[in-house]
Amino acid sequence: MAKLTLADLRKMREEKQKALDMRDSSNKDVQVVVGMGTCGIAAGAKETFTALIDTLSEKGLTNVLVRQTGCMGLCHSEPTVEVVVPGMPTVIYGHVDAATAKDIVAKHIVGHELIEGKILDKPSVDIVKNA
Amino acid sequence: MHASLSDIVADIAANSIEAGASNIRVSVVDENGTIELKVEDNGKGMPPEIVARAFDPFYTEPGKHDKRKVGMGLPFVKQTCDACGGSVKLESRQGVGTTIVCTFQADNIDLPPMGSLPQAVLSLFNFGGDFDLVFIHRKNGSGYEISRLELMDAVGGFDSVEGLSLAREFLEGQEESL
Repeated sequence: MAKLTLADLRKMREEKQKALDMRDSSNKDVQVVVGMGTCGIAAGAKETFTALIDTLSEKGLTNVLVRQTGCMGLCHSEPTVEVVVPGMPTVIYGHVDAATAKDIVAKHIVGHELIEGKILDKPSVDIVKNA
Repeated sequence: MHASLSDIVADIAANSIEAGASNIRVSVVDENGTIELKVEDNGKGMPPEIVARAFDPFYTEPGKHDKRKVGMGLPFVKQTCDACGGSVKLESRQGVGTTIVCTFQADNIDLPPMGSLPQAVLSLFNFGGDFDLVFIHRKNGSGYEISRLELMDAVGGFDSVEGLSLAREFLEGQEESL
C-alpha cells in the first residue's frame, strides 16, 4: 500500500463521499459498541473491531456508528459487542470473533435476526445502565 | 499476559482516555536493540497510595466496577517487561497527569510480537470524546507521527465506517513505509 498523506486522505474522502451521496443513505440509527478493556483486548477485540469495519464497509452500510468502550463487566465472555438497532432489542453478544462479527452485520444489522447462542444474559446492571 | 505489544499499547493508552486526559502522547520507539513504549497524559493523575498499588493485580480503581476486585492492565505490562529484560516506570501526580515508560529488549526470546499497531491506534482514536492523542512510531531512523484530531479532520470523523476505513488505510500505509 502506498504511503498516504493527509491531503491524499481528504481527496479520497471527497471521492468516497460523492459515491455515497448517490446512494440512498439514511441517518446513523444503528450503533455497534465494542468492549475494549484489558479483558476485551486480551481476547482479541481489536480483530473483532477490524472485522466489523471491513464487513460494514464491504456491504456499504452508512447508517452504522461503530464505537469503543471499556470493560462492560462481562470479562468471562470477551470480546463483547453491543448492538443497538431500532425496532429490535438491544443485545450484547459475547465471544465475538471475526466470523461472529460478520454474522452480526449480515444477520442482525441487515437481516434483523438475532444470532442464537451468542447472546449474553442481562448485562451487569452496575455497568450497563440502560440495558 | 497480552498476546502482542500493540495490545499493551491499546490497553495502557485507554487508561489515559478513562482518566479524562485532553492530551495524550503515545510513542513506540524501536532503536538500538530496545523497544520503548511511552504514554504521557494530562489526565486526573493518581495519588501516591494508588501509584503504589497500580501494579497489584488484586487492586482496581475504587468505583470503577462495583464488585470487581482485579485490575489486570498494568500487571500485564509489568509481567511482559520483566519477562523481556526490560523495566516499567510509572510517574503520576494528581491533577497533573501520568507518564508510563516501558522498555523491552528487542531480541529477547520472550518478547511478544508487535501485532497490529494500526488496529491498536485506530481503536484508541475511536473512543468517544474530543481528546487529542498523538501517536509516534520510530524504528531504526525512520518514523511517523499522527494526531487523532488531524486525522479525524482529514477523514471527516470516525463516526462513519468510511472514515474508519480511510483512517486504517492511512495508518497501515505509514506502518508499511517504516
